[in-house]
Amino acid sequence: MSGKKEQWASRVGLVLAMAGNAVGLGNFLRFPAQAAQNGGGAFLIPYLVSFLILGLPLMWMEWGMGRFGGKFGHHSGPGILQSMDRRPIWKYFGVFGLWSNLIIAAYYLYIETWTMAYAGYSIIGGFNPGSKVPQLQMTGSQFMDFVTGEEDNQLLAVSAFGLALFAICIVINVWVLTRGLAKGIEFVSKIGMPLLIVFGVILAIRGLFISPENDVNAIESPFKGLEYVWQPTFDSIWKPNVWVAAAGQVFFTLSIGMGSINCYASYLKEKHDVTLTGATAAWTNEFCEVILGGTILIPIAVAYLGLEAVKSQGGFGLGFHVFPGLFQNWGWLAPAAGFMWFGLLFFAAITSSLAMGQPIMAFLQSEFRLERNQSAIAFGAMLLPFAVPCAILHQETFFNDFDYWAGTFCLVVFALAEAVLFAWFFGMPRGWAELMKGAELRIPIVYYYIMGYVTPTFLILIFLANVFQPAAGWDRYATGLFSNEPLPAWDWHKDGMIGKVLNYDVQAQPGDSPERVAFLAKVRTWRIVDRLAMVGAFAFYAGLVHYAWKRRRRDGLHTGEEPAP
Amino acid sequence: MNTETWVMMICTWTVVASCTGYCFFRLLTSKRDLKSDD
Repeated sequence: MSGKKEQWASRVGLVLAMAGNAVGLGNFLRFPAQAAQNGGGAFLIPYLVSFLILGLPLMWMEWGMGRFGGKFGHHSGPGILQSMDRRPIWKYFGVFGLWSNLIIAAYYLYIETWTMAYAGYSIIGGFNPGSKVPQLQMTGSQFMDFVTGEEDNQLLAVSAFGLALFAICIVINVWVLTRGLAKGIEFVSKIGMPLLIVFGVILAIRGLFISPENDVNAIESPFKGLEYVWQPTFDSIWKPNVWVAAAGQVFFTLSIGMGSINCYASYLKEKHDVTLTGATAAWTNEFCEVILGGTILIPIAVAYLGLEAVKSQGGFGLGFHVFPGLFQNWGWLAPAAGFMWFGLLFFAAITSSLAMGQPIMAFLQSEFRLERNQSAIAFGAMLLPFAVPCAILHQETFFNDFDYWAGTFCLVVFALAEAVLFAWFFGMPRGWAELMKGAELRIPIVYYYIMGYVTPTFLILIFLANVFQPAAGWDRYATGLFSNEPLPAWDWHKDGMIGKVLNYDVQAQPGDSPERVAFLAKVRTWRIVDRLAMVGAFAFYAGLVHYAWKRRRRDGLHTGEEPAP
Repeated sequence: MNTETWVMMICTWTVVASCTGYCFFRLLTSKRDLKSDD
């Protein structure tokens, strides 16, 4: 409705943009830690099964839904979902496809800022305790404190340097978005994705050549780390917890349930293929996650720190706090290695954050006739009230809460709505026919039934497992039902939905200092504020959608609510 | 690393790399592109 119609320049560009959307920090920081903690090599069995029956089908569904909605001029969640069924409720489910992108972008761009800062500090010779310049001697942890301004038990966390970089990072994203699909997002992905893979391959190969014989600071072989990630413990595949972890990892790594895949695919025409391009994007993500992600972080960390020290650390702590120091063992290569590692994370992050802006821009462009530049600036402006608190308050408040509600829980809700809509309301016969239009890859017919029954059921199980997650984990209850083992007393897990509502993760523990207890009380108060902000943002977008559809009805435009001809 | 771990890792890498390679091969050798389909 506004200006010139956006379109992708090439299929390879589209695949790289979609893969860039999927490949994020989780591929390199979360996956190896998840695999190691959930059965090593055996984790890959439920992981690959989940990929085949949950990840790939949902990818294809989102591509198909996006292309279908695009046919009617819809390029964002509300219109795309509404175009598939007459019931007016779907456009409000589609609001998740706008809202979650805004809330996730608010904290994700801040992490992107850190990668930028770390890459810059690495290349100028930072993280070097032996440097003659005192400013270059900071460790990874000290630099993190410098960038975030965070201190223990302090609510305010202000760093002028971090805030300035954050502003630059937001401006870069908005600027790229103003350039449009082909010259902006596709261009960045065509540069970023190959560089990311090259950086990853170089680091993985160099890392595997670490040897305690040649490197005085190495205490283990990196293959010990590979063994930790890949050693199969087959008992683990019978544990429900491992399946929930594997399905969760597949789900989050593919960026499903955000509305960005539908948005990107909505710029395709009916005769354009979605099956081969969708599968290529999904497998590219798996390549970056399973092969590169599993080969860099843990093997290098184990080589220098030993297995026991690594086991106690999460992927995020290793990547930002520990890794910069470890690269110092690589002599003259250290600045380049640090730059490549954080550059890799930066490219992974920016190609994902751009995908968060596009659905909101597309909504503003098609429903409110905003030009591309105006909609990009509007996205930046909408972002600020949510991004600033993430950057100036302790991460236990806005940052972590946004990550859980928008970046975890609501993705499952939106994906579940999409799967149910596609398979049960739009109907599998129509859905399958839609996917097959222009298809260059024949999807095996078994997927007709997987998409129709298995994927929605699997998502319902993930949803329930997350909502009712017990503190003792699901394993004890599952095994207890089939044995004489007594069931543990029920309590909510701090990371489950109910546990989060009750703020279990920010309750004072026995032995906490009075400062910590007082700090956690403040955090719980601020969580009320951040949750009200999230509800407010959702209501704002729902209001915009309501108004936009009223206008569509008045102007006789396609609403998706029309009776079937 | 023991044999079991090597087998697990190589098998998984082979599946992932083969599927990625196959998809890219099909995509890059396809005569169709977004413009010719318009």
